[in-house]
Amino acid sequence: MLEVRKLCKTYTRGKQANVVLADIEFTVPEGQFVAVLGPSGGGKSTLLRCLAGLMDPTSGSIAINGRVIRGAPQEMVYVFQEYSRSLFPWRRLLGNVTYPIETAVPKKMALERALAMIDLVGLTGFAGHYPWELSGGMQQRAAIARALVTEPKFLLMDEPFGALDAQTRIQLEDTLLRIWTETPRTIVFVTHDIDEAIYLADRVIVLGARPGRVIEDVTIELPRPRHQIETKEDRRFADYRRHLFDLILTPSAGGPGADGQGPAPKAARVPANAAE
Amino acid sequence: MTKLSRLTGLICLLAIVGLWEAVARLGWVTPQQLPAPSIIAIAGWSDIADGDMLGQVWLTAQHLVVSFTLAAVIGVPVGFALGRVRLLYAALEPMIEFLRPMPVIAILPIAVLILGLGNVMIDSVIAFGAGWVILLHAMDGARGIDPVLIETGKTFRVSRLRRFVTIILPAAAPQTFTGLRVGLGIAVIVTIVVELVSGFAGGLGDYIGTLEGALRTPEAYAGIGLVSLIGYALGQSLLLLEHRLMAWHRGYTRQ
Repeated sequence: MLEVRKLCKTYTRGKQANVVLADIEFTVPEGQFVAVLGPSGGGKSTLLRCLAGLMDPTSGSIAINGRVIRGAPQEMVYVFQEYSRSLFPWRRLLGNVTYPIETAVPKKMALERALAMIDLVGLTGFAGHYPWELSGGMQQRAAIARALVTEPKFLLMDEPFGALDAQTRIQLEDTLLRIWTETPRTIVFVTHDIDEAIYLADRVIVLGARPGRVIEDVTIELPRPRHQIETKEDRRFADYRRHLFDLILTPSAGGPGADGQGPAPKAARVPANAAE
Repeated sequence: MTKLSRLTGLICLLAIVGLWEAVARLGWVTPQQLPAPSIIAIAGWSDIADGDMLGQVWLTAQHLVVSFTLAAVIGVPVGFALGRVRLLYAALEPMIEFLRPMPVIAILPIAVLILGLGNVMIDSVIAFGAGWVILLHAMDGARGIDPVLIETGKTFRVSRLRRFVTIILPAAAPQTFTGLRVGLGIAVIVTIVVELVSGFAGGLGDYIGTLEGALRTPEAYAGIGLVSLIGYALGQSLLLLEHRLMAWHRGYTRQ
């Protein structure tokens, strides 16, 4: 169980204090697929970076099964939106996937586990390719394989499909759901895409912007396995969609007309050679 | 490089040498100004056959190897340290920017006073001349590493040592190698200059100076050509090593 208690994050620049997260509280039971939804600049990534130990919260705590964690916790692994910058260009796909475990387990075992993960994400046959020889979708698959090879209890994903085209994105959503069904683990999935959040998750935590805070916690009661057409044609899908749109679009959520006060959108920082 | 572009380069080179030969043969320039390439080749060959030149080549090569190694062994680690430790960078960067433009020739007399007349002095001066560019490239390479790569290491909880070996080192390597190649070129130039002006060091620089003084222009040109050849050969070996160690980088940058 993942417990987030009164989590606050404030950036201070000179005399100006910018409250990015204010009293975030939620609990994620084991095995749940949670989407964190919010407008851009709403602190979603900051929240996830705090969970991953990449950033220290200003106050509040994060606990796994009652144990308060600091730094990058053992059980968690983080998948970056910037897959092309996160993979090591000097290692082949196999070398990238073995990387997290190669000092922990014998070499032969590391190779076997890495190859199994490469198969699992649908990259069979590409183990000898360099990341920059793969398409964007394949690169993100590679990053997911590298994350899963550590057999994490928690998978933290920061808009992992945000920089992909629509078709590739749909394929990756379904791959992720398949993997999650085969080996259930807790997933915290940050996205600004309402449809993606509803389609994937058991539950959508909606963040409002400036300061980022939980404005609603929506349980998604759509049957699984989900289907790109049938699930999205479901009456309830449309209801959730309308509800979440209303939440995100109300001025208090800081949604539309969000004025670039927050951090710049991540996608803009992806280098030119990433987008293919 | 493709076969075609290699061939183009070779043809262009041959054309220019041919033009030069023609200009010299037609008497448009005096042999004292610019002897024909064939004359230079013959003069150079006879000097090499005499054994005169090879001893000088050996001396120059020794200075080059020792001083370049010294520059690399100091420049690369210091550059990495400056690039990764913010406090060190803040403390030393202004001083480096101040020391860096110091002309090597101007510090030569001071170096003689401190280190005396000998190989230690000569090699230190050459290393000083070549070291900055190596240091700065290593520093920039280490500083400019994509933070996402570093964070990737953090999310997998790798130790500091492993982070250095498996992330910082390979990520900074391409730029560091560029620095080494530029530094090697500078080392060649500074070696010749120091040999030429110091008057006691010997080597190809001294040899060229003496020949020029004696108006033996073809031999002097041959010496200069030999210096270029040595520089080219060393540069190419470094490039070969770079390609071998970093095959990934050529593909990554679509070369």
